[in-house]
Amino acid sequence: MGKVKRAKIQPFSSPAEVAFDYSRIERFVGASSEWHDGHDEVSESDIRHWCEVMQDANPLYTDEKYAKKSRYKGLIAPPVMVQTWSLDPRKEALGRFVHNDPPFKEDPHNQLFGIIDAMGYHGVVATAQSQEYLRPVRPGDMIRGRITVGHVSKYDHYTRMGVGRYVDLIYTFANQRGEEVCVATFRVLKYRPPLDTRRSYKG
Amino acid sequence: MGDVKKLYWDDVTVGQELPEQARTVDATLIISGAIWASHDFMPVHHDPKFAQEKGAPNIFMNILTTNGLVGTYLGNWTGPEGELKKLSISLAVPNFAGDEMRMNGKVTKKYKEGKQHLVEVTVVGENRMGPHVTGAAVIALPTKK
Repeated sequence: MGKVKRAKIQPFSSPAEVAFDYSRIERFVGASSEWHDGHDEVSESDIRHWCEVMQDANPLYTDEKYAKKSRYKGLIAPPVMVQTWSLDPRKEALGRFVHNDPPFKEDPHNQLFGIIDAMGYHGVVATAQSQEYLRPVRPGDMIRGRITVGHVSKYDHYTRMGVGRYVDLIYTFANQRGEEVCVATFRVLKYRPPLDTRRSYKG
Repeated sequence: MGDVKKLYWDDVTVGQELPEQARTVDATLIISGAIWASHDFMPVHHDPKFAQEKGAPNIFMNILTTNGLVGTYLGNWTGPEGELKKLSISLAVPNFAGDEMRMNGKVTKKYKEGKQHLVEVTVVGENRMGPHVTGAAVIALPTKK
């Protein structure tokens, strides 16, 4: 057989493309962050803002007289609101999503996301969550959270948003007395935004 | 408050459908839901240009607002004495501005556990592109005796 001269055509899926290397993130699976306090204490005004947007007229959330006579003996927050106080303040959120500078960099899930971002999967979208409510959240509570990395897809998923991997995070929320108020699983898709994928082809 | 709704466990039947509720989805709901209600400053929920850079045609609702709307929908059905024990939701097509989400639900199970009287409900919230959210909830209800 003579020498076959290779055509200079780049394969569609070029080996130069950044690939997801699972071995680089495996060590984070099962690792937990420290506990972090919420950005603010739970307040009646936070609860009222939530109820205005959701158009939720449940008197347990905003009618003190009704709530005092209820089995809760006072106002409570909507259980579905529990995660609100653990989300980043404005500056930290823009650091995380825009400037590649997340808060709590040492937390396992943040290290994990940093590596996944660098592998080209820098889009993020929440796709599912499951919350179990254990105790009511009340005005004046300080809700603390910790995040454990639950699961990361070992293979690419071809989704509407682009090629991506699912990451499951397990959230535990507790109040200032250390009592758990909610345990939750939060699933995000880390994906390669299609525009970015197109730009990365040189051929 | 005047009349406060009270749904009894005794009156619920498996297969029963929850009344449909629709909610207009506009930029105000998306942005106030993200930033004001749930404190979510991820720019895909308030900055159209940022959303487009991430491959979406426009800003879209964050999962916490969706969770909140489902929670309110269930609470409207049970009244304040219904106690939400668990809620799981999955998102499919996004909720973009200029749409409407119609929510429907159905009772799939009715059972006792210890002293609690529970029901399981499935929920679907659809916009014009299809299902935005599908969910399943476990709710404790009061009994008549």
